[in-house]
Amino acid sequence: MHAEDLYIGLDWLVPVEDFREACRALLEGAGPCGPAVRSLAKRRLSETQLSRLARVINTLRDQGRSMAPLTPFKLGVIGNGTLDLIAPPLVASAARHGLDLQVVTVPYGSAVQEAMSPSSTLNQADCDAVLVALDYRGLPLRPGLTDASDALRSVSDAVSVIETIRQGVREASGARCIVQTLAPPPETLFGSLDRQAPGTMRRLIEAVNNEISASLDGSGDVLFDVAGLAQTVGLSHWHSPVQWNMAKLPFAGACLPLYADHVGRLLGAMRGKGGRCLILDLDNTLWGGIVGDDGVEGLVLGEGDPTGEAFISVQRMALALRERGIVLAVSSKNDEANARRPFREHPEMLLREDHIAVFRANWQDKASNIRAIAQELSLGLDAMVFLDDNPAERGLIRRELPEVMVPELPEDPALYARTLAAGGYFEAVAISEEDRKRADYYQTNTRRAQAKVAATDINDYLKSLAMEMTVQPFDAVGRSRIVQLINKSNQFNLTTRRYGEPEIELLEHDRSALTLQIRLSDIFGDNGMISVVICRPRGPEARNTEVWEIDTWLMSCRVLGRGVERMVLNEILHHARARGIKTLVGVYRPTERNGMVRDHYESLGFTRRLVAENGETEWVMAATAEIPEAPMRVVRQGFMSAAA
Amino acid sequence: MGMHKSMIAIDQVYGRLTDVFRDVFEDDDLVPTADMTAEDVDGWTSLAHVRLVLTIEETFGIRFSAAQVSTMANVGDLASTIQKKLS
Repeated sequence: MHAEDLYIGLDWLVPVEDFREACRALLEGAGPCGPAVRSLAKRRLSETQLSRLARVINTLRDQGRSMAPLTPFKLGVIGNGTLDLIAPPLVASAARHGLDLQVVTVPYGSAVQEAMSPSSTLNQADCDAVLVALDYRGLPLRPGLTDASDALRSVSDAVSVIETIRQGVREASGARCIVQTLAPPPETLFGSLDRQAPGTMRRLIEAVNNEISASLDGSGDVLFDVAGLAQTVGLSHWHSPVQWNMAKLPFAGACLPLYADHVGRLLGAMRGKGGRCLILDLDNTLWGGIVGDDGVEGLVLGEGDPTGEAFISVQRMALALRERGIVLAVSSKNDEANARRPFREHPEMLLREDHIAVFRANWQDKASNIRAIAQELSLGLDAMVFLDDNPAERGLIRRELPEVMVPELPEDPALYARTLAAGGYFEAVAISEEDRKRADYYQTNTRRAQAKVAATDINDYLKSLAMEMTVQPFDAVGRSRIVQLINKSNQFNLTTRRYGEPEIELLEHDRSALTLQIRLSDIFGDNGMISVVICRPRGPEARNTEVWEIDTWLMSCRVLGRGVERMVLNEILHHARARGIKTLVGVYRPTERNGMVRDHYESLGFTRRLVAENGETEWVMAATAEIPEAPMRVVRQGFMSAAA
Repeated sequence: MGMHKSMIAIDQVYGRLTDVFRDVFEDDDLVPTADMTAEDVDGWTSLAHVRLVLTIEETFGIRFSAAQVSTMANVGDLASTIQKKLS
């Protein structure tokens, strides 16, 4: 059921074994208890367990036990639902994020009065922040189809209620407000039209949310995107009409641990806590396989293979985090030379050595390595997030270095990146000056790209893609992807000849043949290997022939219409001339699936010379032919000598 | 789905309910009995009642209607409602 959802189930946290026993041990102990409280809070706790832990925390605090190193924080909560149910899970979840939280709630339905009156419980409580937990039911929104202008006015009314609360709190107590966006109800009136027709609830809520986020810029108040959270788990999971009617729960009880964790992250971020550095394991975390055993060419990584793409998504996320200012480090049990090799030699790697601030590959235990990384970066252990597929390594770090954040990972690497993101380890409430500089830089680049993409002429458009085509002969690194393409491609495949690994390996050393593996990148990223070509000598004395037959020519349909075919033909002609070949012969063998390339050779300027009964056609072109170029940069790699 | 699908034994329901009651009311010696009502348990407030219902839903993987929640008179009613929902 619900708990199967990665987010609602808090899957990035480790399940708790004996929760009651741990609570008892805390209460029966003596002296400082901050670290033990935090360790227990870091487990995957249900609403009931969070509430119980909150009670334990309150008792310990009352006993005068030290909560250090947890940072004290007092949070006021106002809203239009049952807040008393929300408060205890907030206390326990805040401990997970390094805070010793006390919560002040106000009576149901008195949000505005409490905020406005300087002498209210809320404003007298000396809060560090106030969570404004209003949902759309607590705001004067008036959806209406006949009088859309009144409906729009109600958006301003709703926003001004929130503004009034924020202003009241700021003036009376100086506390910062955490303002929630509104989760829309799943019910629609028309259906899809609700997003289009003015005056519907969906439109009004969207307008309120936009105004809320715009009003927060530079105000010191903080946004809590509840709408985004609700959409992540699904609007129908987010809200339960039964629980709303029964107990005025603004969201389903099953979502309470997730909601509370998100509040905890924001409070932690307001106190400067949270991850600054992502420490990555290598084997089976950044790529599939073990580089020491499988070699660079045996690794599973890259577009076109489902597992290879999973690891690419981990790398993409790490790179994106680096771009917003998170430091990347590596901790791997490997010989350093082996560990670095994929970064240097594997064409599908997104991460490069210069992205990694500290690279520690050795045979020492990972706890020592992580300590060394933290020291080298002058960051605390509690700013470290450690990503490792190996449960034993994760367990070791949790035990040896409990301050380090260690997301639990599912079996399937396809879920690694999402699980890391769901954990919210790098929550921020503002973009720092440093982040901003970096962001500005990238933004300028993006704008440039967008301006170019806006071009209407197809050639301008292709130019704006800044395509780079990399051409290499077959090699061991590309082998598995080449074999996969040869056996999988059906549509853009002139001959549909299938070859296995041994045959492809032989071709790598066949000096009479021409083999090409072609990759394409553009402003949207790396498309990986997109085309494969094999040319073999043809004729009775094949060794000394002046004719090449294009035995195999296939291409991924993702890059159709970009002129790649023309540039590939150019490459074939280039190598043909260099090796004294005079004529190219192209063959089209029709199948049920490859009708799209029936006219391939004709459109490239070949001349037809044979049509067989089975529909097979044969085409020729002189090696001296000139092909108009397409707008892309061509990089040739790995061709020993053109005349070889 | 056979015609004679067997019901989960009421003892089993009480067994799992005991854990739920102990967690929700934070009393590790609490033993729920059929004639027990909110009057008999310290801290069984309306708020605790909501938490109890949520926790039972989560633990047993079932959903109550608001009407079911409001018509249960004692723990015996609660246990037999759970038993029916699981069969």
